[in-house]
Amino acid sequence: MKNFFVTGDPMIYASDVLIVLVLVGIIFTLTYFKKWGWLWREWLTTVDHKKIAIMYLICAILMLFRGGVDAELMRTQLAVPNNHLLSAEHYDQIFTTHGTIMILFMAMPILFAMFNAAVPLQIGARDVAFPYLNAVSFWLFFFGALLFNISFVIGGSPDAGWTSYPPLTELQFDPGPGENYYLLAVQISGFGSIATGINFMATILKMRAPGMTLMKMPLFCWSVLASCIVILFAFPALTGALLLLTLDRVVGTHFFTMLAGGNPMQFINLFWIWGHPEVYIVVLPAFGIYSEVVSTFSSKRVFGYKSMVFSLMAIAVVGYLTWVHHFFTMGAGADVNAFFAISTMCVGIPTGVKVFNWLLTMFRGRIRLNLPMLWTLGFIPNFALAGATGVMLAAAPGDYQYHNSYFLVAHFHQALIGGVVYGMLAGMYYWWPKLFGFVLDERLGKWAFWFFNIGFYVCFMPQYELGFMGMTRRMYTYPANMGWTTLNFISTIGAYLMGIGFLFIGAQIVYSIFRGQRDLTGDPWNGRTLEWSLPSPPPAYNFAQIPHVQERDEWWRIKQAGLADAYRKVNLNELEPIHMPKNSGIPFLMGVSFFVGGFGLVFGWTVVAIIGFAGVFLCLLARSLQEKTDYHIPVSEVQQTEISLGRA
Amino acid sequence: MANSAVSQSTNLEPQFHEEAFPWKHIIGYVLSLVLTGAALWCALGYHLRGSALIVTILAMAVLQIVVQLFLFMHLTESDGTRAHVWTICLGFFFTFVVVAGTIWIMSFGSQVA
Repeated sequence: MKNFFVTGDPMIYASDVLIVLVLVGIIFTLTYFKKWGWLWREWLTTVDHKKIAIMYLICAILMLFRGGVDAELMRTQLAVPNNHLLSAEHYDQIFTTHGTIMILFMAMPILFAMFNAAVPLQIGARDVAFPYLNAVSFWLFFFGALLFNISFVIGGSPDAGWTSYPPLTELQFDPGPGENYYLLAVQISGFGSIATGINFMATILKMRAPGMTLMKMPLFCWSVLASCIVILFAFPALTGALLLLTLDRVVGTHFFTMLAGGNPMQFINLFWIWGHPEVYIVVLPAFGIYSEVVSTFSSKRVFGYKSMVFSLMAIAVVGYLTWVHHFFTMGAGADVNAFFAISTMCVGIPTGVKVFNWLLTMFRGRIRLNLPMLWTLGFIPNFALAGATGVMLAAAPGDYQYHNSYFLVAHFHQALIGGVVYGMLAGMYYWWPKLFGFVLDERLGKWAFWFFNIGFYVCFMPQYELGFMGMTRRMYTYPANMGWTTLNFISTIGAYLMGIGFLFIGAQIVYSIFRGQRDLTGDPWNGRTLEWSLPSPPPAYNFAQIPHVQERDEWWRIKQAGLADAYRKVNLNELEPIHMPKNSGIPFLMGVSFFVGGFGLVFGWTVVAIIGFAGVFLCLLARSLQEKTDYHIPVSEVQQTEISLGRA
Repeated sequence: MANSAVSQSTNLEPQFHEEAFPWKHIIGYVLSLVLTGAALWCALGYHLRGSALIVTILAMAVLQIVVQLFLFMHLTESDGTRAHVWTICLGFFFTFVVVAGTIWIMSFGSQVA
């Protein structure tokens, strides 16, 4: 118990104070305004996909802040040589939490925010296939993220990199709760991700409105389907790898130790069977968002729809066959490396098809430079560079030079920021009015874009060069005579510019909550797909009547035919009771139970762990014995809602 | 999909027929435990070595898949759509890739050892 709270570092003490102040502030506000019941009824127990989307989005933005602070600390540490702002150990912890948070607790939830915000609305459904499971997914993610985030004040953060390779992560080399936090937090949120993959796959395959064949589906839905296929087949490999490493640490097995017949490289193999497809899990939906945005803001249907669908699916399958390029230097042999080098380069082909399709969609279109389009345009040169450097890294002999250098660091940041973060921000700006009923302020958003975009290049271009000059990733400081000082300093300036960009986004959200332009039409961007035929935000049941779809850009067709106003009117006499899922507190309680069980395992407190997992079992049991999980909204209530929305 | 949010048809009854006693599940559960235990016994007790061990474990893994698909997932009980066929084929493909790929990639270790 002596080392339960992390001590000794003034920055940690400052964080302790801030955490306590924020908690007190939240509790006081909720009590003072008597909002506890509201919080429980409207949010903690909700199974509504739109509310779950909002909760994912809020968490993702908070995690972007946390991961961003980690990044700024790292860049500050590296700005000048021989710096001792952070100790080596503290630096290790920070790059570990930065990577883990950005991929698993920022990229994944913002992705799921977009899934939840758009997919049911785009396919004309009233919710996802399994709304209760959707809530379970969210709360598993939430409590997994919470478990990971408390590590830096309670017990100490993991410090072996986001990849957590053994043998370093075995108990004998890395004692203490840090790595356990990583293993259990990622495991718990991973369960939620698998469930989300199943959920949206079922939603897209089973819940489409009549008339919407697969080939009439919006491209974003196709990209979600591709992403979910990869989630379903890739995440179990991570579950297995983490479980085996947890057994090594907690029970004393020898799966990944050098002694007693284990093999640490097997963890690396399993990790990347998940880890590389994970890149496609996060980037494919971004591609889907770009397709929606490019088409909407060029006022043209997307160029080459069928080739877009084909390339999404091709990337999903071929992207699964490339994982060894993360460990070419393991030395599996020329035949293995050659196969995976070629398969990696092959992914560039369908990706290239998509880039040309986006460009040709814009060709002779009437382009409007709103924020979603701005981020999309920023993405294209970014991703071209990420692709080019990716093919360089894919050449196995060359990779022996670049491996684990700053060249690699620059490459994957270019792919993940330029590809995923830009895409998710484009999606956030695009669907924000649909979720919240107001548009985010353009002027502040443009400041944010330019700070972030320029900052990005200033930050990461020097890192390619530093990689060539021999600087390796994860080093916490460097001597003055290496010739790295200037480039590192420039890179740090870029990181600060990106940080300012993020602050502008925060300011933009706060400003727009009070002053943002309200979206009264439900169609602020002159959109093309079904979500824009609904009011913003849509009622709980989304569609009073399930639409019958005729064409690919159905809402655009309706508008072109001059039928939009008639389409928005609901015939009150034709309404039927709407079948909806009931809210449930069990997913939240199951998340709490997982948190308690995970926390117990982190510290090896068997009793706490047993109590937690018994709670999980009780939640499962309670749900199994529930008779009434759904209800019908009566016609009169639907009529009232539609009248109040001005649609009758 | 009795629990789904919005069944678009009015028929909310489950689409598969129900057995009086879940024999299939119990047999499947026992079989999957036996298969897993046997694989563990082979590897842990050094009862087989080298390629004989790998072939035996692979055979048991294939049986395990058969058990899962037929006794738990009711593969034969309803007329699937084309999407079902596609996803099952993809599943087999990815399983093959992971297992065969891993054996191929990691067999370099035997040269080192």
